[in-house]
Amino acid sequence: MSIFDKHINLRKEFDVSALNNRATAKKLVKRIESSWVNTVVLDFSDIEFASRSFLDELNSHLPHIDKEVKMTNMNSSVREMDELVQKPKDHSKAAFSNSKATSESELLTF
Amino acid sequence: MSLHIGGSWDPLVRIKELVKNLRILSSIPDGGTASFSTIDFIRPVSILPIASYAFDHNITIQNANSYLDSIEFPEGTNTSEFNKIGQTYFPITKADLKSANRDGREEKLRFLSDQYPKLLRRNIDDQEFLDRVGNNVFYLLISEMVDNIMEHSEADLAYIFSQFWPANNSCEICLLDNGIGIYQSLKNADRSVTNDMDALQKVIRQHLSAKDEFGSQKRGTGIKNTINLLSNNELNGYFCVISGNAGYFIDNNGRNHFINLTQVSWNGTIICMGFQKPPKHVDIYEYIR
Repeated sequence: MSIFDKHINLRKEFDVSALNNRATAKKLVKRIESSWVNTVVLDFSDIEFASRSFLDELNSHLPHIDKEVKMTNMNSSVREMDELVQKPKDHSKAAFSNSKATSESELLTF
Repeated sequence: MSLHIGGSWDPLVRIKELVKNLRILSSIPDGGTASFSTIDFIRPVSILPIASYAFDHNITIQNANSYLDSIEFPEGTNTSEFNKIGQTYFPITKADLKSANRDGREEKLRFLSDQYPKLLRRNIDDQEFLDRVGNNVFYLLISEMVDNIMEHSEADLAYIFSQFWPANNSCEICLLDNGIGIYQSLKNADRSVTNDMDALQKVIRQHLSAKDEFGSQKRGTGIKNTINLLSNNELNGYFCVISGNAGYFIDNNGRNHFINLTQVSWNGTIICMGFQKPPKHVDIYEYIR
């Protein structure tokens, strides 16, 4: 990392061990955009879990940001979610066939 | 005006019972009194909406029992008092969003979705259950639903209450808010919806969402992924959502119902999720799109 890179430790930045929501991602995007450097490093050290919502929001904004953004120190769980979010939807490994509850809904009145 | 909480383990029976109890509560003027005629066995979905409604409408509920006292029914404890919650003391938890600005609301809900899964795990005294379910199931179930509250509800109050029953290795989590509900949220985002049931059906069947991204509509994935995770042969669970006068219930036994609530409407959204000890470790990524 050069001295001209911005390093953001996400654990310290948000004081959480799980990045769980879109609002956090939006805040992070603003933080990246407001930085004067060309390269921002997002450090996922000590982040146990990142939700689909968080990573979807973050990844959807990254192509529109005029900076290089690097992600480091993702644990296997966070990395897997990130890969899943970035996969084209048709190639998802989601195993819906495992569910028995696919029948047509019956309307109940309570 | 008596409320009844029976002993059935069937979540659909309990939801029907809840609707009846809410109908009774809604007929009582603010500041009035209700009582329990029966309390056989309390589950989160049976009690949390009653607690929230009673608190919001200043209704006194008589004949509460010692268990209800221990969970701080109806007021609950605030998220700021999380550090006081011990191993055997697991009350109704409330995020009061009334006086907070946008950053403050987000901070409170972020804290809830970060800390509550840890607190819930700490209160489950079954290592095999915890190992098989893993951290991620708790994070996923709670964070997706709290995110919906944060993004769409415009709520003043959000509640969560959970229980684990070691005798039958099952867990139930109920979350609710007193916000604008699914229909109004979609309507505010200019989606084509006509009423509570139409909105809920479009959310469940077509994954309609109020979210926009760079000028185009996004599909909703939170509820879909949650249902995928719960209604399978691993977690053997169930999922229910009630918003306005519409509800939806699905479980792993193939039951899959939209529910029309008569003479009662919930101002906001209620979510109930239950699951059992899985036969092996659950990989959540098999169920996420």
